[in-house]
Amino acid sequence: MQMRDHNLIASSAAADLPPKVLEKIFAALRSESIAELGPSGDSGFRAPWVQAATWVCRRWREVALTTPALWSTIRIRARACEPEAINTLLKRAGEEDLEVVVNGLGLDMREACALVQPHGQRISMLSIDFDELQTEMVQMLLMHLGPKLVNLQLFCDLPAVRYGLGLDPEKVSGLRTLVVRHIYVHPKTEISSLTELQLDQLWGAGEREQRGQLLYAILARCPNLEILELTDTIPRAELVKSGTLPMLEFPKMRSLAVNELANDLPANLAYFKVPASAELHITARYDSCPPEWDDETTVLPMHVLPGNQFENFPMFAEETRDLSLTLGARCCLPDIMVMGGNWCIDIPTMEDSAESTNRLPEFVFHVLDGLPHIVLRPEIVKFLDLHISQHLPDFDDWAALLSEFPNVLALTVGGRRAFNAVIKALRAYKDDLLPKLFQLTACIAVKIDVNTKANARAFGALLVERAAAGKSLKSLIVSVPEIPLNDATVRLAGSLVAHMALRGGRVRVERTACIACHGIHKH
Amino acid sequence: MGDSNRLTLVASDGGKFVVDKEVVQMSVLLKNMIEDLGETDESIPIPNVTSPVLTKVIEFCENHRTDAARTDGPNVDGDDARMRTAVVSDWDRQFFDVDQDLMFEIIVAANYLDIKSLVDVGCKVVADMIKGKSPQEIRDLFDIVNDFSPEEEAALRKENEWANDR
Repeated sequence: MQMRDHNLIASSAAADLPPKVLEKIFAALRSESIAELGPSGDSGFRAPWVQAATWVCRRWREVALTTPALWSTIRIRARACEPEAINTLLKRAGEEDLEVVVNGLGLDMREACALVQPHGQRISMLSIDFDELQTEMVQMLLMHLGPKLVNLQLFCDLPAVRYGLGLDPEKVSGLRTLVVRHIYVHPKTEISSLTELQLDQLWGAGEREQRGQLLYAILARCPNLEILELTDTIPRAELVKSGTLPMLEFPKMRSLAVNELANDLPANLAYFKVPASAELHITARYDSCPPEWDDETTVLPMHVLPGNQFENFPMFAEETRDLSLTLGARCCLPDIMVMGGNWCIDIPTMEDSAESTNRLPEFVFHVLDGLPHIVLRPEIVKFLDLHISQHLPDFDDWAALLSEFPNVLALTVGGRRAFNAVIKALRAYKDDLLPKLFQLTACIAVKIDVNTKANARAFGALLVERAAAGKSLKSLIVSVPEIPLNDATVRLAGSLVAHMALRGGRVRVERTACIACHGIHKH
Repeated sequence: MGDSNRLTLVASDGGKFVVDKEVVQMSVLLKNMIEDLGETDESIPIPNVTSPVLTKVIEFCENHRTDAARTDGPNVDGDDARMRTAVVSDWDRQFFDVDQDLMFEIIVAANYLDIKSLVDVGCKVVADMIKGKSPQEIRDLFDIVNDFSPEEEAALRKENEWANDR
C-alpha cells in the first residue's frame, strides 16, 4: 500500500465539514439504521452507519471516534462477542450512558457479563436474552446496575421453573420500563419509579401453586404504573380463587392491555382497579376451545369482565356515548370485537379445533343480548355501530336490543341482512324504537344473485312512517366496499339513496372496507 | 430611521440583504446579536457567508418562518432527539437540489449562524445521499480522497473482520 502525504491531498467540501455538522450527519445515519432495523441496526462494527462514518477518510473517522454519543449502543451476541471489539466500542463510548443488548443464547455469558459489569453504573438500557441456566450470571449483572438504568428487558428463552431474578429497587432507582418474558422478577421492595411494565408468557414459569402469589406480589410492588401489558401471564382462575391476593390499584394507569385465556379473566380482573380515564384493551382467547353452553366452568364471551366490573373499571360505568360491535369478520379483525370510548374487548377467534369449525354462530344471540349490559348506562349511548357478518345466523330480537338504547342519534348497521332486520324492527315498533334516531348508516354489500327490491321498499316505507310520526330520519349514509361494486350492490345502494332523497333527507355514499359487513377477505 | 422590523445583512462579498427581523431570528447567532445591539439601523456583517449562500439561507428561513417547531428556544430534548424527528419536506428536498459545493456551503453557513432546522434538514439530506453506499461509493460521490495511513488501514481491516464476524 502506498503512503500518502496528507498535506498534499486536496480536500473536498464534504471532507472539510465542521465536526458538529459531521456528527449530525452520522447521528442521522445512525438514527435511520436503528429506525429501519431496530436495535440490531446498531450492532457494533456491523452497523451500516459505522462504515460510512469511519471508513471513508481520516477526518470523518476522527470526528466519529471522538463523538461518544454515536457509540453508546453495545450489542453482544454469540458471534459478535470478540472482547477486543466490545472493549473498543466501550472505549469509544467514553462516559456516555450505555444501551446494552446481550443475546446470551449460544454465548459464553460469563465472558459477556464480565465485559459489561464494570460499566453497569453507566447503563441506561439493558436487554438480555438468556436461558434458565444462565440466570445466575444475569442476576450478577443486575446487581451491578445503578440509578441510570431506565429500561430493563429480560427475556428467558423458555419458562424458568426453578429460578427467578431478584431486583433491588434501591439500586435501580431510575427504572421506568421493565419488560419480562418467561421468568419471574422479584423486586425486594416497592419500585415506585416504574411506570411501564410488560409481562409476557409467565404461565409456565415458577412453581405452579405459587404463580398467583408471584404475579400479584410483583404487581403490588408497582403502584405507579401508567402502562401495563400482560400476555399469557395471569394465573389460572382456580389458583386465584384459592389464594388470598392483594387488590391491585393503579391510580395512575393510562393503558392496561391484557391478552389471556377467557376462562382466567374474570377471576383475575376482579383484583385490578384502574381509573376511568385509562385505556383498556382486553383480548380474551379460547385458543381453539370455545366455551360450552352447559359447562359452568367455562366463561362465555360477554362474561369475561369480573362481577365488580363497574367499580374496578369505571370506564364501563361512566359516560360511554359510543358503542361499537363487530361480529364475524373473516380476517384481520377478531371474531368478536366490542368497543367503547376508551376500551375494547376482543375475542380473536371462536375456532373449535376438535370440531374443525368456527362456533361463533352459536354465540350470536349471546353477544347481541349481552351488548347493552356491558355498560352501566346503555341509555346514554348516542352512537351505536353494529357490523354483523352476512355469514352469521339471523338475530331475531333486534327490537329488544335496540330498546335498550333509547337515546341513540346515529345508528350504523350492516351487513345487508342485519340492516333489513333492523328496518323491519323499526317499522314494527314504529316510533317507539330509537325515537331520537337522526342518522342511519347502511354498511352493505350484496351478492350478485340477490334481489333487494323488497329491502329498499321497506326502507322507503320506514321513512314515510317515521315522517308521519314526526320523527323523520334526517340523514342516510350508504357505506359500500372500496372494491368494484357489482350490479346488485349498486342497485340496493341506489334505491336507498333515492328513497332518502325523495323524502328530502341528506344522503352520502362512502367507500369503506368493512371486513365484517362487506365480507371482504384481505388475505 | 428605517423600518424597525427589518434589518440589513451584509454578506462577505458585500452583498446587502434587507430582511424581516422575525426571519433573521431563526438564527440563534443573529438573534443574540440583535438583542445585544438593541434598536439600531446598523447593518450586520456576515463575514463567513457569500451572497449566493446567504440568498439561499434567507430563502429557507422565509419559507420556514411559521414553523411551530422553530428551534430558537431552549433545546430540551437534545440534538439527537431533534435529528430523529427532523422531517425533510418536498420543499426542503427541492431547496437542496443544488450543486454539491453550494449544498455544503449552505449547511456550513447554517451551522455558523446556528439555524438548527436548516442544519438538521441539510444533514438529513446528506445522510440520505450516503445511505446504502459503500465507503468507496461515498468517496466517489463527494470527491473525497482515501487518505488513511497504512497503520490506519490495518485498524480498518481489523474492524472489518469484527464486522464480518457473523
